Amino acid sequence: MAELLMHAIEQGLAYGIAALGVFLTYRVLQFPDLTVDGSFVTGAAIASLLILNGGDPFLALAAAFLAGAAAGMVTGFLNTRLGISSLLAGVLTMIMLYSINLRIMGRPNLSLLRASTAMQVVDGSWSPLGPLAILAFVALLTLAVKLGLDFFLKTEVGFALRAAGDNEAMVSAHAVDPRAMKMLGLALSNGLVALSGALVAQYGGFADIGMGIGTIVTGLAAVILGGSLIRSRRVGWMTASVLVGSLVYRMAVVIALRYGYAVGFQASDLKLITALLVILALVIPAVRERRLRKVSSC
Amino acid sequence: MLRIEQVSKTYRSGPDTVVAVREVSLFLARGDFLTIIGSNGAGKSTLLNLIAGVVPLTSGRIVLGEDDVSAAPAYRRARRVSWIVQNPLAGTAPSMSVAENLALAASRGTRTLRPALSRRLRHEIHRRLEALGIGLEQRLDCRVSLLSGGERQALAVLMATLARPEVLLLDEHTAALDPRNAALITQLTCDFVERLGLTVLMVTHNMAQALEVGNRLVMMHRGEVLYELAGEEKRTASVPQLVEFFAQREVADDRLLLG
Repeated sequence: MAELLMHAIEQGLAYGIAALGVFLTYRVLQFPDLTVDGSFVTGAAIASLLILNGGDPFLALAAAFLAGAAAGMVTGFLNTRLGISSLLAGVLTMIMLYSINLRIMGRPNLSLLRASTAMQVVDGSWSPLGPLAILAFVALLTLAVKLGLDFFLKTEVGFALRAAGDNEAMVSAHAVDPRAMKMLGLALSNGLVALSGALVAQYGGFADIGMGIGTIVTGLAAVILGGSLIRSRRVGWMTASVLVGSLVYRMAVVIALRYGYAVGFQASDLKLITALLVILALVIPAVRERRLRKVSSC
Repeated sequence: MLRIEQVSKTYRSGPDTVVAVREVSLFLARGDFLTIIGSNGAGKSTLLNLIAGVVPLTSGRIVLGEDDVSAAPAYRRARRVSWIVQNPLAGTAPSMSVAENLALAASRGTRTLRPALSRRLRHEIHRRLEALGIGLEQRLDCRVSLLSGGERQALAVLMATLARPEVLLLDEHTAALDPRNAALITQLTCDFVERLGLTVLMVTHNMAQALEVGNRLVMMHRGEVLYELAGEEKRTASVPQLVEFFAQREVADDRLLLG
């Protein structure tokens, strides 16, 4: 059970980076971006390809980030320059990425079992930590991403990005190009999602063309779940809540997969249950808000 | 300071064309405060939107200082031109705090990866809010969505003037407020304009206000400037005089006369 829990935490943190990406588009930019289902795989594919060709597994993470950022900019271009709606722009890029990801990998699945992944390097060189080495690595990386994102969102550019999501018409009055902010937000978001994909691939020992399906929904699940557990408007708390949401979600998944058979669940029911969870999480606050509208505090 | 040369705006939808602004030319010297009155559909707001760059020109030129800004997008002109619109919800970022909104306004023009809200800026913001005298300094970390319309518009005025623009455009920015708040916002605006020596264009449907503030007044009708009052002529003009003038030209409507 302890081992099961540890794996749930490791996965919760690794997927948490993708959830931070979803948070950036969905919550901060208010741009529902479906690109992530594709860019998650792109990150995994790029990293796996590099590692299989003898590349450094840590540099592979950075490369995955850049590839994801490029994918996000494609969506940004479709939306801001060609005027395609946000949802459709994301779907189009996602579909394009499906083909591109297959091109990168050459086939639908790449195994990293015999390759030197970041996890193996960490396991070998951080040996004093014993079985906690991988957990420590994933936690440090996720924390670094969280703190980096916190810092960015508090810079002058970060303020402009947040305001652009909040009130697009108003930011141009303050010399901010809202289109540039969308591009930047989408690039950063998909960069994080791809980084998460690369990390998950190295953690799981494979990249698969289908591994990105539902990234947007699990990301939303983490964002919404975390947001209902930790209610704060402060940037640091909001990103922390996303990670907590991701952890709670992964633990629920692990428990469901382990004990769900007792109530007749199969592993393949996971997406259905996740989506239902997200629907519920979206509806409950709306209902509560309607009831509490009259009372509001600072 | 601001030269508007033969500016026109035509809207086309299918076979219909509407000329919202027709060959308007205006020259404003530094420190000029021009009020614009006119009936609905006279092209007042469109003219301001053309100057701000929110709406692209059909023809003509807009020259700011020495620079032709006719083709520049709104966000580029915003370094030198500020604008405030009627809707108090439009001028601020609702989910960000009062201090964060002001920090956004303060970093206009040069935006870096430095922390936006330094202790020094926070202190400065506190001081500026205190000077408004409506208690907003107590609510620095309050989300703007929780402020009243008057408070939001006061914040918008401070935000529009914080980075010292050259030109300020006011589009009926007190029209959505109750009389007490409207008077307060007008007072605040005039204080800032005077202190910073701004060049101002203000659209209003309130003739008394149009006569009270500013040193020049123009009347627009069907996209054209019909009439201008300036200097001594404007100082001595009265609302009944204006009304009579409009009535003679059959251009007045109820809103203008009752406003």
